[in-house]
Amino acid sequence: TKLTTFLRQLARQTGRELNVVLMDHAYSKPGNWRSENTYAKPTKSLFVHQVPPLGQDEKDVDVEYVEEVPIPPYDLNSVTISMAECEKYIEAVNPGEKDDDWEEQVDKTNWTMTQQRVFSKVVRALHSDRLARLTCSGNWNEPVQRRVIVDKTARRVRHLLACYSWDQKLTHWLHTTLLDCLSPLYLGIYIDVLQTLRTKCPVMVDRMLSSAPIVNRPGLSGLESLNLIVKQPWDPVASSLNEHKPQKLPGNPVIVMVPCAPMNGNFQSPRLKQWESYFASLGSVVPVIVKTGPDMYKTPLTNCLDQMVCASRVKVAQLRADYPGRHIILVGWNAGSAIAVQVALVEQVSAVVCLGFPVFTVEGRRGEPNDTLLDLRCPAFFVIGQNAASVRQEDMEDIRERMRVETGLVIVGSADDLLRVGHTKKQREGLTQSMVDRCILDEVGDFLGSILMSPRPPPLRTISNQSTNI
Amino acid sequence: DMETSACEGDVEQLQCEWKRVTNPTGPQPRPRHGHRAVAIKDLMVVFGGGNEGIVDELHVYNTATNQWFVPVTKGDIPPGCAAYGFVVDGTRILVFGGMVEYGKYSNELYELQASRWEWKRLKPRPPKHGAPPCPRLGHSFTLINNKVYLFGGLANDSDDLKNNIPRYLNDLYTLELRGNNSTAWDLPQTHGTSPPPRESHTGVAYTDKTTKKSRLVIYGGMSGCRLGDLWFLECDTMTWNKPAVKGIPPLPRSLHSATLIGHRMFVFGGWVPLVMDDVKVATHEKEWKCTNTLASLNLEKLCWEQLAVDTYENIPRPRAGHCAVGIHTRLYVWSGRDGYRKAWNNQVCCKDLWYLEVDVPAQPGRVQLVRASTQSL
Repeated sequence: TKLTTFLRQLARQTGRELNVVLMDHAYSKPGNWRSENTYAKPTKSLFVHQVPPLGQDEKDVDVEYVEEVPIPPYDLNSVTISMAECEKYIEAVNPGEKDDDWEEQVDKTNWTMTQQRVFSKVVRALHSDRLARLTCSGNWNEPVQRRVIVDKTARRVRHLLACYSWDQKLTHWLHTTLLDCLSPLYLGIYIDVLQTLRTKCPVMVDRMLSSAPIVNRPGLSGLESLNLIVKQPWDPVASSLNEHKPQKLPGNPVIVMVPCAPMNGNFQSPRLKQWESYFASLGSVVPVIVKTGPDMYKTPLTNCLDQMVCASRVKVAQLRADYPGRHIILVGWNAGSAIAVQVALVEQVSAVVCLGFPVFTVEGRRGEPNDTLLDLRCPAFFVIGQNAASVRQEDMEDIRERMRVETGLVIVGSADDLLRVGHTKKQREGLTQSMVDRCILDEVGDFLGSILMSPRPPPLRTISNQSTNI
Repeated sequence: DMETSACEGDVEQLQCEWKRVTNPTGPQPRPRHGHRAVAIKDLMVVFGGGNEGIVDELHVYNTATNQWFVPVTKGDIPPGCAAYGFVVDGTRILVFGGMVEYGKYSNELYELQASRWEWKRLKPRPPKHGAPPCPRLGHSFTLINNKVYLFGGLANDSDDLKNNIPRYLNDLYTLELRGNNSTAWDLPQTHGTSPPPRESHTGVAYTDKTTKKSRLVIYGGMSGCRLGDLWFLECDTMTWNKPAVKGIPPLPRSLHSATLIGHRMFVFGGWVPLVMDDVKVATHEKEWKCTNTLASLNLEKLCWEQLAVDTYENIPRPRAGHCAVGIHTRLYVWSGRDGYRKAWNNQVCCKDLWYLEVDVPAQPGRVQLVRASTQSL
């Protein structure tokens, strides 16, 4: 589809697939496929920037070749409209206001030091947002670039407000002052930022917006419309990602989400929650929930781990009884992936998916000769971040080489332990985290699909004999 | 007039029948594409190819006993290769070139002595004038008398294996097989216009019954688009020519198989252009599909013949990159890829074995027709 082609193009997997010669002669997989270890599937990399080998930069620069501009997979028109929604809104309520020298007209008398500092920092963030917007304006991938820019500004503002513990008086004052003095252009940016911030910390933002500010601007006095727009964040690729969901895995397996920490109250990381919904497109998702009481901080860590392993084992056993014959796949994030492996050692499952698998642990490195990880009997799929602190590619490859089961490995370029890609990378390559996540999900699906479709046949033995009578 | 009607007017259509070989015994080879096969008496010897990794296994199918077996080989066992050249001279099998690793092509020559199942790496003498053939895949490698004719193929001009810079070839080398097991490359001088560069075409050796003259028949291939042209190299004069062939030619194709049985070249499968039924939609040149069509070139009459394929039973699925050999009156076909169909990113290959019975007794229909006309007289 158009979406996968585009994502591949961004993930630097193209050219190859589109090349007719390689399509016709697809006898072997690219990469480090080696016949000595047929268990380890070739390592794949997503969004890893290839540094050209030294000496190649001496080559003549091809000035005639026009690099092909990828076709964005979203509907540019509708995305551009939602991208400019905040600006349009401001324009509508403030017709005909001038943009210039608003900053000089701000009356700073009677401001405290803190107020002055907060104000100038926010304005600085808005300034750089404005500059970044101008830089990417007209870019073929402007909506995605814009999304990344706003995300960054929102992060800066969030960081700043967190420094003052989201002090309610201060945030109120800031919000009122900004609404009061910003020019329409900057006001649009500010509302974009609020909108993004609200997805990250809804309670804080709602509190900041709660009391009606006294505003000189007639258009903004009615708060309902402003609140409404703040509550509707936009994502340039969300709709096309939703439209092209990955294919369901053969046999609709049960995907068990192994926890990485006990659940504290009802809070669950939005990212993990989102990944649960991603996996729901591959099969039936069953989360394992370990709840703790208020005295959670008193339980020793080992007890806590035991509880999570036990809960997962109970869940797997129960699922096997409930759905005999269905494939069961364990999925874990970070520490949860280590727990998933532990469970897979004792329970019969079809595969384990380890997202952000940690190799460096408090108890030392994984993969040492006495590590039970090497005794794993079901296929395992590892996804790690290139910049993860708890794992390095070489160590993962080394472990894989010694495992006696089929394993796959995907490296996500510039990603951390939780496979989150940094801002610079996103901006440079025109990515959003949702696009990266989709690529990871596709790789997981490919691995699981091939495991479920063709379980590995026993290794071929040469049969001696047979007089051939030639 | 007589000549033009020779093909179309031929009442006698060649009768053929596909049969799927069921339940062969012995260890089944893994489905793949880009492998090759040769026939030694009743045996079909299959080597190489790949899917998810290049195969270095050797399998033999005994058509008389319906049994696969894996001979134990010794000597300089070659690495696996795909889309390479494979010929047999008596019991001596030669392997040349092909893809040995992702993006890496070979120009090495190996010999397998099938009587002892012993491999040997050969180092043929380079040609007197010029360099030995460059590493390549998808070339044709055809034995005619005591020489193997190497034509065309695809070279990779890039040092970086991941970055393919393809170059289609149309060079012609001959490899002379000498009595004392030595071999030598030659870059023969040819006359006439050479066929344009291509790869994944086929080469077939044909010797005329009456004149005893041999020729190399090059058909189809790929040069960015699929080709359907036919070329002869007359071996005595080393002259290329493009024969005028009657009948309805099959669709252009590559990665098909062409097998000589009697005086007919049977072309099966491969990639063909996607032809739209709707006239308004122009055929997109870069869209292809696999086919399961069968064509027969009568090399005596120089015409593409009409075939009456008995579809009473099933016929093989469309495929490309399969292998085919002629054993007695049968054309054996095994595996090959199933189009671009992928299951979870894995290319799907056919795992079935078929044969085409070429020499089917004539249908009684013609006799009846004759009788009917006699009665009406």
